[in-house]
Amino acid sequence: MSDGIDLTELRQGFREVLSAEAGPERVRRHVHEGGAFDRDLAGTIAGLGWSALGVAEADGGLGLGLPALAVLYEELGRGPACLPLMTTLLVIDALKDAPDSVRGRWLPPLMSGDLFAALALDVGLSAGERVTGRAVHVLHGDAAGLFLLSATDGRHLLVPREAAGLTVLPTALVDRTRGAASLDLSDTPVLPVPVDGAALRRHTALALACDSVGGADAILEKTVEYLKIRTQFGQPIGGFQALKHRTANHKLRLESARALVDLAVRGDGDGQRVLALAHLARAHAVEAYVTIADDAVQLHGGIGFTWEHECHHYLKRAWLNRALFGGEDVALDAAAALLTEDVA
Amino acid sequence: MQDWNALSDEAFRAAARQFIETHCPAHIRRGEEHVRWEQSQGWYKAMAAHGWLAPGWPVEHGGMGLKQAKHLIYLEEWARAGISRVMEQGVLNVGPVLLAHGTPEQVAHYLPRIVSAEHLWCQGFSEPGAGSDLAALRTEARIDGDEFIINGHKIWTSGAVDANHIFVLARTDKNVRKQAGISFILVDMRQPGVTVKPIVTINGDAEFAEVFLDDVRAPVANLVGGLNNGWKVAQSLLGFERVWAGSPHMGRQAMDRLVRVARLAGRDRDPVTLDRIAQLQIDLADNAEMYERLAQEIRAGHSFGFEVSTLKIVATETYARITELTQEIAAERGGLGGEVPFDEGTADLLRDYLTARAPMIYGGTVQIHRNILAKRVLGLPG
Repeated sequence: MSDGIDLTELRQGFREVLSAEAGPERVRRHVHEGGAFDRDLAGTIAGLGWSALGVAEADGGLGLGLPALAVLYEELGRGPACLPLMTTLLVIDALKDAPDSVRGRWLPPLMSGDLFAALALDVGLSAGERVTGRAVHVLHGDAAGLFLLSATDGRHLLVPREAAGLTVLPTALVDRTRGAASLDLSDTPVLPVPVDGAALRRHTALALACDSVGGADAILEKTVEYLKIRTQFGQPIGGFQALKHRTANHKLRLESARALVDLAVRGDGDGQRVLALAHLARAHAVEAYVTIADDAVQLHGGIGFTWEHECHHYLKRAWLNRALFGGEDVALDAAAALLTEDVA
Repeated sequence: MQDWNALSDEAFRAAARQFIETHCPAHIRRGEEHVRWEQSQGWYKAMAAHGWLAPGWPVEHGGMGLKQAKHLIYLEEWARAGISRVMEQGVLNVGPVLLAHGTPEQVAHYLPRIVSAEHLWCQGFSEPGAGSDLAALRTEARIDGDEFIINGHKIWTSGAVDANHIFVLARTDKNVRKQAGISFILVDMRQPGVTVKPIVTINGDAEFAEVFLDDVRAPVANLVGGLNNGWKVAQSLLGFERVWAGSPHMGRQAMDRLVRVARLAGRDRDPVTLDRIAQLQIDLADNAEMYERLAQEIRAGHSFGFEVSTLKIVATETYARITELTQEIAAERGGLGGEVPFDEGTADLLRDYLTARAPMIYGGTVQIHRNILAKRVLGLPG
């Protein structure tokens, strides 16, 4: 239980919608047709209030906390969902300390699903009310109508897509279930907003960690099902001990990642340690995801190497998760710095 | 006619290198990538015209008559130049199998047509239900007068889209041990009942295909090595090719790209990255040494056995791990598709990584090779 909501029921609700509206066939077709943002699916889920999950009740949202959002990130990863929701939820959460005027202007369209948002961390920008600079590989930047830029000088800036001097260039990604873009800002007017930078970083790391746990869980489950039905040498190949142990090891990887992610989502303790834990959870979960999705191809044999099969959707999503927001090394470096600070 | 075997290894290597540099166009030097016939036929025909097409075949059939040691050198030079595989089934498998098991009529009919590129071959072994367990294949051939009538479904057939002939393993006796009821049959694909459906890989390439055979006909004279003897004929194909599959050539090319990406990504002074590159260099050196030892055995005229499975495992897994590190050290850029821009150049990271998944699956998965190793080399039960 969290915030009075039964998380198991919540999870079931997400899963039912995504398996009915965004099952493997739909994802395959979508990816085949060029991928990234599934606008039809976005339309379908717009009325379900998913974007409003973390918004305060006073602002018209459901007022649920991180544990509920974590469930949603995980289920989006399981899909895998071709939706720009992760960054939208991150930006919505980051705006909770923004003035009434900002919340009143941006939260309603973000909550209703009419607008999606993207987020870029550590962007080098010029000073002043109009900025110049560049943000690359911005997740869901292709679909977003609003950008939150966390600048290297500590400022957090809101930029609507139609802002003067802003050019959005879609980026080709490894992963075809999501999109990204580069942003070029040239003397672009920006709106500074107060954002808790550490909380935003923590939330970002946890969102990636949960997406990874969900994806790893889904592809492991599908792989296990395949090992039960694929027959060679007169028996299901899942009966061969070498493959049983291999799959059991993947389950160990997954559950150990899940445990760390759960701990990091609960986030007890001082802010610094909690942030470090989120970075570690992200690195651990992504590592498990890449390892499991990579081996899923091998365990499926030839069929796992085909475009038609869904193995590659997960494998490519896993690699993108590893690369996002500075990449895994940045997460590990940050965690190491935070954890060794009180030792030194 | 040149006696290539009379040359020293160094002189032969120099001659091979010169031939390649003179005749091999840049657009088919794409390493492990698959190249379609329309792009590769110029190179194929150039090799044929200059007598460099069929290194292992006897000279009287248009080959080079190379001993295996020299043949390996030629393959090494192909790899060094990054030459892609180009419709090699005829030269690699059909020629040798007919010379070993075929009738004089088959040899006289088929070998010249491989050299002239009139016949382009593909290999019809694997089936949807018969991959690792190849002997479980269900494609059937029944005899009707002086013809076979063949029905079945082959899969993972490289080059089927361009080929006009296929050699198939088909069941000709269902009432015996599964290996004992299989025949090896040469089939002309230019007839009704043959349907080729490309399979797109996770790289987006149409490298493989499914081949559907519906009441397809082949003369009984196209049987190779006798009725129900196909398993033994097929086994004889898998010898020399496996030595090459265990060579470090794929790993070496991947290592060059890893070092290049480390430089491009500015990671070439990072001690953690350097340690990991060094570890892979050691694995690659191991692979090279194991391969070299086997090559020496071959040069000395000794036969080789199932130890070749060790090489296949080491070579393909080392290659795969090198591409994993390349993708990983690209950091943020590891999430980008296509030609990824760095400050001083570009690299297609994902393609290399994905391409390297395949050799652990085709030609016997690394799991099957571990079974062979455990049973045939270590003598474990099973």
